[in-house]
Amino acid sequence: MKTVIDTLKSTPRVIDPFLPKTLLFRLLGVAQTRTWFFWGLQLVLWTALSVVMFLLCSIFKPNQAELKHVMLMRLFFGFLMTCILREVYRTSLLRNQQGWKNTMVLVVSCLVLTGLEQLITTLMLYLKLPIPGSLDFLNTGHPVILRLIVLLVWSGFYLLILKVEKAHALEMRALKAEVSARENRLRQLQAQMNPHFLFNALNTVLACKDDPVAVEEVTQNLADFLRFSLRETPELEPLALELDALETYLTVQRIRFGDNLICKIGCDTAARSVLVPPLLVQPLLENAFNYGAKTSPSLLQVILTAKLEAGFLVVTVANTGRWVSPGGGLSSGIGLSSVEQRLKILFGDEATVCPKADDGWVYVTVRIPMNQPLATESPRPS
Amino acid sequence: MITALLVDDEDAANRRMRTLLAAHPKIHVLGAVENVAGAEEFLAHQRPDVIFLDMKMRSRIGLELLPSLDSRIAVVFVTAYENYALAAFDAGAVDYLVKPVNPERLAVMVDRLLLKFRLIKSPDQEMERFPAQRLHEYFSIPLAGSKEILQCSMSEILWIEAMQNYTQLQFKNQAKAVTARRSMSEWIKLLDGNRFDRLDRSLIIQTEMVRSSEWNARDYTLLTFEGCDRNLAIGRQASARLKMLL
Repeated sequence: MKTVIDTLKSTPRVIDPFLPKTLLFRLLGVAQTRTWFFWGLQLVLWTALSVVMFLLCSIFKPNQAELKHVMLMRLFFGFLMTCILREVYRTSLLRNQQGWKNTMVLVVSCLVLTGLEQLITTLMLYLKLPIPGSLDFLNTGHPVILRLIVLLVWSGFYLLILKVEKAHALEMRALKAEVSARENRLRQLQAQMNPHFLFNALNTVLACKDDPVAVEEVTQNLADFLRFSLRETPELEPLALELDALETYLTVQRIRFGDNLICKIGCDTAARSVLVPPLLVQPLLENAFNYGAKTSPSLLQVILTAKLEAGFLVVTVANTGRWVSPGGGLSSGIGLSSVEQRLKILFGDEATVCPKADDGWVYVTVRIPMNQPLATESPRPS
Repeated sequence: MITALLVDDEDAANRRMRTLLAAHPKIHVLGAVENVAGAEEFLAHQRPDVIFLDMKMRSRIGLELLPSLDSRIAVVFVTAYENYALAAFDAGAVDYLVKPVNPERLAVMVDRLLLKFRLIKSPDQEMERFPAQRLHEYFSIPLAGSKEILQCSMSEILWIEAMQNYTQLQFKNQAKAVTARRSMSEWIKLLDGNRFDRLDRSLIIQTEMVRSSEWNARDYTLLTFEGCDRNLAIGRQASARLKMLL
């Protein structure tokens, strides 16, 4: 079973360093926590190194005052070079490349910088420019090796800290995703229980108590509908299943509204077997009844149609009444936008949910493209 | 005649089963008991053909009755829990009903029982009984009210409705139906059982020609066929059968 962490790991996290936003942040020097962390560590490190160097020079080579200057200069350059290294790493290590590629970048960068420093020093010597420190040290102190070692060690620590931080971030995201998933599940369960419909139906039962046939019919259909709503649903299933279940839903509504309601479900035979997410249509139907009942003339008509059109599954819920923008939320807690979102995740941007009002009727049309849905495991055969 | 024993710790549930089963004259309820012990006692003196068994009862669960049961007795589980269906069938139950019991679903279960006890023939087999008498693709029909014979193709038949001793056929791309001097039972023997299905006593359709269906709140369903402007209205039973076929 794929865990949340597996899913997160497999999706590449790409941050474009040349994105205006990131560049801006860096230009303005606006601190993100990571930046503060880095500079803080740098400060501590190089200051500590300086202090140590100072002490060592004072203790072991108290006579060579110049040595201290040399050391400080070298430390300063070291600091500069590590900053450069950081920039190089940020641009090249952001993608999750293989470990050996990273090591390559690391080693090459250190070598290049060391070489560069050596080049500049040699150049300055050649040009007889004043440089701090005696020639002796430069010739015998193995500065290149030392520099290289320092840079490599620094890079090693940089990578290590980066890895730790990434792992931590991943864990945080996994936790957040889990919390969010639980909340969604809770909301979904609540929606499935459909308390609004349930209480209305029970009220209808009471209202019919002198008509045993009606009582039987409402109770039976209500039970069948609830059973359908509450079952474990696969990711996708044939549209026919939901449409058949909605017959029980509409039967209850028909008894509830009596002669004031005309409702129909029309479906092309070809559309029956199209795989759709469960409870796709039902929220739309709920809407139709909620707002239709409030805004429709005395006879409420609710018409559901499903057909195939030009490579799309087109499901339309039409009801008499006026369009009311869903500001206050719906009884089932699922808005049109979240239905659309769900569809877009499964089927891509071509999937749409469009409301339209025209001449005393409100139409909500769901269009689903008929190619394979994306972002899911392959649908089970019906 | 099939005899039945009802086992359920809720008296109301047993009463309901009795009421529902009363609509099926071929099933006779011998008695109703409240628990597994009562059932065992009953079974010591009488042998019903089928036991309707609740799953979760107060002292012992329904499944416990099964091992000691005579293997010739059929078991139908009646319970509020959906999840135990597989376990029930594994245990050899004939069927599984969920509460509140849907009378239509009960009817299907009764059919299954009657089949099992060989009291009726399978409806699926009805249309395949006489393969030797099958019509060819192109055949002729004697028309009612005249001596005319109509030549037609089997694939063009959309539906056939019974009309007393005659039948009315609707063909593809034909505005009017044709009345033939042939009865429903004759058609059942003659038509290709793979393409044609009997939806109820008075209706046969060519299922793959159904283009769309429109359900109208519990009264009727309108079917639209390929190449035909006229819609066909069918009742609940026919509609239920059609859903299984599609």
